[in-house]
Parts: sequence; C-alpha cells; structure tokens
Amino acid sequence: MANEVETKIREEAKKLLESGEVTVVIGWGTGSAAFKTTPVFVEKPEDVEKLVWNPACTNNLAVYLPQVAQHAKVGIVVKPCDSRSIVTLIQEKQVPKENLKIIGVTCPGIVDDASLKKAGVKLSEVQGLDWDTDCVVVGAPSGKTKLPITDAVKEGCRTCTQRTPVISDVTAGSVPAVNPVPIEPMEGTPEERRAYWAKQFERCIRCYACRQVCPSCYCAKCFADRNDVRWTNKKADTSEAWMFHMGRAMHLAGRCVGCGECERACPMELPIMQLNREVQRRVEALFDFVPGMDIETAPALGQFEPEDPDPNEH
Amino acid sequence: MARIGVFVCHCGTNIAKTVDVEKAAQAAANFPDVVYATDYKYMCSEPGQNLIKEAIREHKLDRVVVAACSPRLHEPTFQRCIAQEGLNPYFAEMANIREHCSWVHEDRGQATEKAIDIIAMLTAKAKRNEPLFTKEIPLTKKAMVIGGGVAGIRAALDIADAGYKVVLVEKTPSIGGRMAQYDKTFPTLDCAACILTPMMVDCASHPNIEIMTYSEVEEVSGYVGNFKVKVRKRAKSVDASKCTGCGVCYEKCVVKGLPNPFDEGLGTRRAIYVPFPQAVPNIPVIDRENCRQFTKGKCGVCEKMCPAGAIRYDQEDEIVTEDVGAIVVATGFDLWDYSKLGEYGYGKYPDVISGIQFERLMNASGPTEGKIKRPSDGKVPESVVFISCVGSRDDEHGYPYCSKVCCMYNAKHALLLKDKLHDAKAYVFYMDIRANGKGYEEFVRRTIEDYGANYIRGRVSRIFPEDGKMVVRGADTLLGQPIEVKADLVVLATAMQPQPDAKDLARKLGVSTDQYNWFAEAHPKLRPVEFLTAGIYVAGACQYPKDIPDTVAQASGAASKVTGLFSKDALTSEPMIAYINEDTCVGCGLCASVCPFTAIDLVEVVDRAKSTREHQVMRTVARVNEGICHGCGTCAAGCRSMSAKLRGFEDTQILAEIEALANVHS
Amino acid sequence: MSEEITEKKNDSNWKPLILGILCNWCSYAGADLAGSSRLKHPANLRIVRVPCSGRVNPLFVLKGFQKGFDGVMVLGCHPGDCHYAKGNYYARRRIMLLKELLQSMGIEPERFHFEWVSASEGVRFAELVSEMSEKIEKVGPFTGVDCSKVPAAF
Repeated sequence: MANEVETKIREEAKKLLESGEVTVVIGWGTGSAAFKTTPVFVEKPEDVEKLVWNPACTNNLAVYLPQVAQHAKVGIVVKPCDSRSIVTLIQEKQVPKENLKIIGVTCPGIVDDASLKKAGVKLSEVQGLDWDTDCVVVGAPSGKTKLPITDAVKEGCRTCTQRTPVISDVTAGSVPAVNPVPIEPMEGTPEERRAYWAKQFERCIRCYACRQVCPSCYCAKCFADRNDVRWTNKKADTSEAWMFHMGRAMHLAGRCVGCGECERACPMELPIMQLNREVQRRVEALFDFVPGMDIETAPALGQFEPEDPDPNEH
Repeated sequence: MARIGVFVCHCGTNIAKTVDVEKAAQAAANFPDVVYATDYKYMCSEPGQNLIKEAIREHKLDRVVVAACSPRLHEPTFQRCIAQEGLNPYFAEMANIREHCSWVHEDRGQATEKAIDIIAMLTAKAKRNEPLFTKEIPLTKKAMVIGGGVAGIRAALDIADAGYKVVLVEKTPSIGGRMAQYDKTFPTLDCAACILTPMMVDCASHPNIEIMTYSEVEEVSGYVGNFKVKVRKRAKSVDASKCTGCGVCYEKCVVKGLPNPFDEGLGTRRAIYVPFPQAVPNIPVIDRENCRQFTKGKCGVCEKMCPAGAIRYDQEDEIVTEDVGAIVVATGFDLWDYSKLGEYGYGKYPDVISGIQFERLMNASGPTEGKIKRPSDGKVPESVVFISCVGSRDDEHGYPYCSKVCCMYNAKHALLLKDKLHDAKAYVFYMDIRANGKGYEEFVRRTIEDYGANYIRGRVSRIFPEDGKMVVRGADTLLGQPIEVKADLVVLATAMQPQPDAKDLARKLGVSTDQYNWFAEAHPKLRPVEFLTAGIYVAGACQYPKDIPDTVAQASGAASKVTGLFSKDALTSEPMIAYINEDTCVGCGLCASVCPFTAIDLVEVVDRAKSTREHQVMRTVARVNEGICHGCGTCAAGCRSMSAKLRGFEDTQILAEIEALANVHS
Repeated sequence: MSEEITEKKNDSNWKPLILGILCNWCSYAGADLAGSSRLKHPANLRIVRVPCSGRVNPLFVLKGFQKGFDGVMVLGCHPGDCHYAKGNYYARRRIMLLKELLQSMGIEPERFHFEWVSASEGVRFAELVSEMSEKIEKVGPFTGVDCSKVPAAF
C-alpha cells in the first residue's frame, strides 16, 4: 500500500530538484532497523531513491524548517500532522510560505517502537512494515501479521482526525478510512491526578529531547534555559520538572498539532502527549480552536472574542 | 548587591494599632540586602521624609521600601523624596500594610505576620528595580482632519485659530458634508447654508488651513506627535491653480442627466461638475467614468470652452505625504439602504423617498428650487406620511440602536411642510418621540400643537400604490386599531449607519470600531473624544449617530485636545513601558497581535549569527514604539521566549515577590 | 507525606496562604477600597500588583503552586472596563485555559480563583477573600506538586 505513495514522493522530489525549484528535499529514509526510519536531506535528483514511506515514518520533519527554509527553497515530505506544524510555522513567521514545496502524504497512522512493543510485536523480528486498509502489516520471519490500526499506532494517531495534509503542493495517497478513537478526559480525584503527574515528572531527567524534537519549540532561548529569570532551575527535581512541563504545555496551548514527537523522543517515556492532549482538548472546547488548520487564522491566545468563556459563567 | 532601606510607617495609629511596627522593622532588617530598617509615626510627613533622606545619605541606600499606605496614594510622594537625594525615583517601592493589612485585619499577630510578608515581597522586588527614565519625543505641531463635514470644519477652524497648521482632507469634490445638503436645522430653523457656508469659506481662506478635496487617506504610520499620512489626491482633471470657477465648462458639457449624489438622485449633473453651487473649493471635477473624452476618447468641449485653460485630461492621481502630530477623524455617517426593507417599497415606488431626499426637495438650491413636488409626476402633495425608525431600533432588518436625530427631523419636516403648504396634511408614524435636547421637546410640541401635524404612535406594515396615491397601512397602538392613510408622498426616516469604508480607515489608523463599525472612543465618559491610539481623536457622527449641536461640540472638544497636545514643546514617554530583547526575539509576532495599542511592529534586523562580511542575512524581530506603548504588559505575559518585557514589572521582579513570600513561609 | 504537611494538617491554627495577582487599576484599587472601608476579612492573601491582568503570565500562577501556596487568585477589571481596553480579554483566554489545565493536573478547583473586581467593589473583594479562604480551609493544606508530598495513588 505504501509503495505507490513512495513512488509518487520520489517522482515529485525528483521534479523539484531537477527543475531547481528547491535545493533540498527533506523526507524519511531507511533507518537502522526495519521498524525505524531516519530523516534524509536529498540534494541530488539521483538520490531520490533514498526517500521511503512506511508506517515507521514518525519524524515530524517540519522541525528543520526554521533553520533550513528561512533563506532557501526547500521541498519537504509531510504527513497531515506535520503539515499542520507547517501552517503554525508560517502563521508564526518562522518560515516563508513561498520558500516551501510541500509533498503531502495521506496517513492512516504511524507506529514507533513503543507502540509496537505495546501491541505485542517483537521488535528484533520485524522485517518490514506496511498498511493494509485499516491494519498495520508487520513482516517477520514467521510471516506477516495484521494488527488493527488502532492497536498498533502511536497514541496521538489513534485519536487523530486529520488524515490528509491541510497544506501541500501535491498530495500522494488516497484518504485512509480510519476511525479515530475519542480523547478520554483524565479520571480520578484531584489528589490522584496530582499524584499521577508527580510520578511521571519524577522520572524527567531534563534532557529537553521533547523540546528539541518539537517543531513549535523554535525559540532561540527557551524560558527553561534563561538565567536572568529563574522560571525553573536545572536540577532534576519533581517540582522543577513539573514547572518546566507545565510551562511548555501552556506555551503549546493552541499550537500543538499532536504529532507526538515529544513523547517518542522522551527517553524516560513520560506521557507528554497526554498533557498536551489535555490542553488542546480544552482549547478546542473553550475557544472552538484547532491549531494549524489555516494560515489566516490568528493563534488561539493571540486573539479574543468579547463572548469568550468568562469566569462569571463558569 | 543592593543596599535597601526599609521604612515602616505607623500612620498615627492607623497601622500601628494593628501591626507591631517595631517587630516588622526588626524582621525587615534581616531580609536579604536590607542594610537599614526603622519605623516612624508619619513617613509621608516632612520629618518622615527627612528621616528617609538622612538614611539614604548615612547608609548609602540605593533602594527604599516604604511600608505604609497604598502606592496608589503616596508612591509619587516617596518617588519625589528619594529623587531629591539623587536616586532614580523608581528605586522606591511601597509595601501596602495599611489598606491591605492594618485596616482589614483585627488579630495583631496575624496582621503583623502579613505585614512582614508584604515587606519581604516588596523588598525582594525593590532589589531588582532598574532605573527608569522618561524620554522626550519630538512633536510636529500640525494636525490632519479627515472629513470635511461640519465636524471636520469646526475642528479645523478651532485648531487653526489656535495658531496651528491644519490639513483638511475630504473625499468628495467639496467640503460641507451632510449639513450642506440640509434645508433648515432644528430646533431653531436656521437655514443650514447660512450657518455652514461662512464656515466653509473661513476654512478656505484661513492661512493655517490647507484643504485637500477629492482626496483620501491611503496609509498612516508613526505615532502621536509624529504621524506620516499618505494622502491620495485624486485627479480632478482640472488645474486648480488656473481655474477661476466661472462654470462655463459645466454649462457647456454635453453629457447631461447624470444623477447627482448631492441631490440624492433627485437632481442631475453633467460629466464635469461642482456638486452644489456653494462648493468649496469652487473647482469642478471631471467624472471620468461618464466623460466622453475618457469613454470615447474624443470631445474636448470643456477644454475648448475654458477661458482659463485649466482643463487637464492628462492629470494623474498624486500621492502626498503629510507629517502631522495629531489626527482628527470626522468622516461622518452613511444612510441605511432602506430598499432592504421590502414592504416599504423604496426603489419600486418613486413617491416613497428618504428624509435626506425630502431635505433636497425643500432646499431652495435643490432640484425643485425648494418647491415640494413629488418625484413621480411633479404634483404638489396634499398629504405626506413620515415614518420614523426605518432601520433603527430594528434588530431584525436594520440596527438595534436609535439613530437619534430622526424624531427631530421628522418634526422639522412636518413643520416645514405645513409652513410651505398650509393645506397639506402631515402624518408622522412614530415608536416613541425622543426629543431630548435643548429646545427639542418644545419644537415637537409646536409641530403638533401649532402646526397641526398628525402624530400616530405605531408601525407601518405596508405601503402600496392605489389610484395615484400611496396607501400607508399600519396600526395606531394608542387607539389599538388599524389605520390607513392615503398619501401623495411617503418619507422614511432611515437609520444612520457607519460609512462603508470606516473599517478600512480604522485599520489604516490603528484605531478600533465597535460591532457596527462606528469608531470606538477610548472611554465613553473619561475619554470621549480620544481614541486609544494616542494622538488620534474622533468627532461627529462617525462615532455614533449625533445631531449638529452634539457634533460641533465634540469637534471643538477634539480640537481642544489637539491644541492641548500642541501646547507642549515635546512629549514625554511613559517610563514603565514594554521593550523587546531583540537578541532572543524570534519574531513570531504574538506580542504585536495582542497589543491593545498596536504599539509593536515587526522589523528586519541583521542576523549577526548568520551574516558574513560578504553576505548579510536578515531576521525579523518585534520592536516597541515607545510613543504608543501604555505599559499594560499583555505582550510580556504572552511572549514564550520571554523577550517582550515590561519595565517596572519585569518577570524577575514579580517572581522575586512570589519567591520571597515562599521563602518566608518555608 | 512530608512532616511539614502533616504538621500543617494537624495544626488547628493553620491558615491558608493565598497568592493574589491583581491589576493596578481595578482590582488592586478594589482591595484598597476594602481597606479604606475597613471591611474585615481573613489575613490569608498576599498581593502582587501588576499593571493589568494582561500582564499575568500563566507561569506566575504555576510558580505559585510549584512553591506550594495553598491557593492563587488572579483578579482583573471587568470585560469592557480594562484601563488598557483589551488586556483583560487576552488575560481571560490565558487564565481560563490555565484554570482548566490546573484541574487536569489535580489541583483542586478551590485553590485557584479568577475573577473580575472593579475599583468600586471593595465589598466583593473582601467577600472573595473570605470565600476562598473558607473553601481552601475545607480542602486543607496544599500538599504540593512534588511526588514525595502526595499520597501514593494509581
């Protein structure tokens, strides 16, 4: 199923590079294992064979754009969530739209090692990954196994409602027929919820991988790195980690597109997406706002309506 | 290391009765960087202030915390006090232990504990206070007035009379505006032209006023005292310096019968025209859409006939840039297109007209030379129905607001009708009579009682023609029965609405409009003639429906604001305003989008990290316009990279207060 | 549970410590009016003055909870009354969202209060402080965002 999309990606990339419309195409390439891919920067038309498309294409490549595409013409392959990051980056003036050629792909959902492990897949035996309508097909020496998409993909992909890119110059692939799982609000008493989060943040080692991999975290100087104002100090203390993650969650309010890269990158397996989903769920309910859908729309916290939810009504 | 002095005030017994001031001072002495702490009966008194001054000298204090009343009361007092000792005034902080503590608590232990907390917080803040300075901003003592109606004219004259230069920009070929169309004005029945035309002439001949007609504002940049306004002077196709206003051109023009907007379509004009005989300036313009020279490429009659050689077919629009220090917006109103209200048949029936059309019918210089004749067949009407609130107070079809002037001009029209045609019948359908102005109620009573106008409380539901009359069907809600009037002419009091391009102009100026697109003043009571954007003022009916007295009063108000501004040699910027750390700013523009005053612009700066000697790379950063910023800090609270900051209320200061409180309690 | 919190919980004299962030023009003035009207209320609130509720960075509130205050209160001018015209509208978006997020994070709703108080509402201000104090007294001392201070749960 992924083959024809892959062929299309390569064709389009080749066209862009041959015509000189872009100097580089950013896409996914074969990774160090069959369940992994790696970002590749293709600069020559003959290298487009390096570009791949399969359920392991997890990286949100938009993260490179503020660095790469500010002053150069760039081609980029994007999933729907990645395309929403691009919309956000254009809105926030981090990338000029005219510098981009966007090859969009429709997406039934992405796996990563954590989601595969959770679905009971032995990573060492994986030889190949593909989709088949509403299944992820895992190739292994013992044969192919079909896993229902909602069992195998990353948490954010289970609940994702955007299966086609919102912005692209060409789009490869047909619209997948995958039904999203509704987002469940957090359960428990306040004290239980607080204990739950404290247990999570206790593990944070403050490596900031979540931030580095996030296309929306493009600040030249993160609030967490500031010395002039101590929003949070650098020690790996639960309350300091709480402060960092809460601050980051507020900074992503109305901007997080739910690509799930932060959670994938976290070496301590913190449920960062659960936090982000809580924020986004509430942004949507309060302000009827979904991030990264439209370049012309002002950011959720950069606008207001006189009739917005008011403390006196809540 | 800061050297902080803490001064705890007893405020007589106001504080000392509930707060153990000595204990508070002792506790303060142990706070970080506090080198001196004391208490005194009245810190704001002269001996109290001297005590502070002496302590500054003796202990080389560089920060002062006065624990006393609210900073809203005495902050300026202590700022002055320490400034006299050579300290920056913003090195003084006040810990509010009176209003927020001693006056509202009874338990001495708890109140003392709280007072100590408050002192700890403000001490921590003071330690991080930076010296703040006001800046002088230069000022161009020249104003622009946008809109040449009675509001604009009044404002321009007042400013000019005070000795300052004014540019008066008007969209149409003549100043005068709506008022020039009117016949007489309520409640005195002065002839509108008798009041207005002398003012128009004064404007034209005033040495301080430059009039730009047929001109529109294209672009506005800058800030209070220093605006740059680009004005498009549309091509009149007439050389104003040569034209003598003799009028031969429009007498000879072969394109006739064009509807004249000044007569609201009831009269005609030619392709080269002045909108009305008393136009100022009295210089014709060519309507290029209808002129044969422009549509067919040949004619040239006016050029041949003009004795002054003033016709210029090749004239082009000209963009001029004006430097002004203040802008008055006086662009007036528009009238609701009542053809929208299907059942009243406007547009379908020629004898259903609007109030402004009736003005033109009564006006001696109007299309009928002041003889009231109905448009369909020129018959002198025997009975006229006036309907109020057409589109006003009508949430469903028009606007929910009251247009304010209609009750009065309905009465005026009815009175003048009876005055001119004694036997004619005047019927006024009204919802309520709102006659709340000087002499207004008396005027309406006169119309009804002395002139015998027939006032019917109720709405009209339908108008239709029958046997050469207009049948007006409605309800008399006082009698509680249907009513039908056969009229020769029906006059609708249509709602006032904002100019169609008001929103556009607001955007150019960086000012607000309300939900209907009326211009929004800064505050209805505190700052009724100002916009939130400093240096821009509002006058007349572009803000909300107004009659002439209110319009003129507001115009004089706006003008006095301008002259007040111009009476200063330079402007002073607020010290507590926002600024941007451009090194860390990523130019996302969030600060600019949340700034209530549009005080933040995105600018290009050289990206030093990426530039080489050969190749300069630019990046975008936000920049605060110090002349515009009011210091609310909405930008600073929203900035993710914490690059937008607010002087006097820095993140460091606020966090220090929070942490100091936590430290006292840990 | 840390000794400190146990101590607080067992202390019958325990009073909540509430951080207040108030806009200068309306709410701080409202608190001043409560003072000049001598309206008694519990001595639990400590006020940080900011020019506008628009200046309230949600991280200030988060800092308050990180530092272990029992409650945080943000007060600003009523919609339409902002000294800076629109600052409070932007604040409303930020703070309403923050208020909900705090609930997701397991901070009892009683501990955070966001409200409009005008310069003439001294009575309202005094009532608010009393009400919030009472509510927090019911839920007890804040046990912090730190794991070591919260009971083990799911």
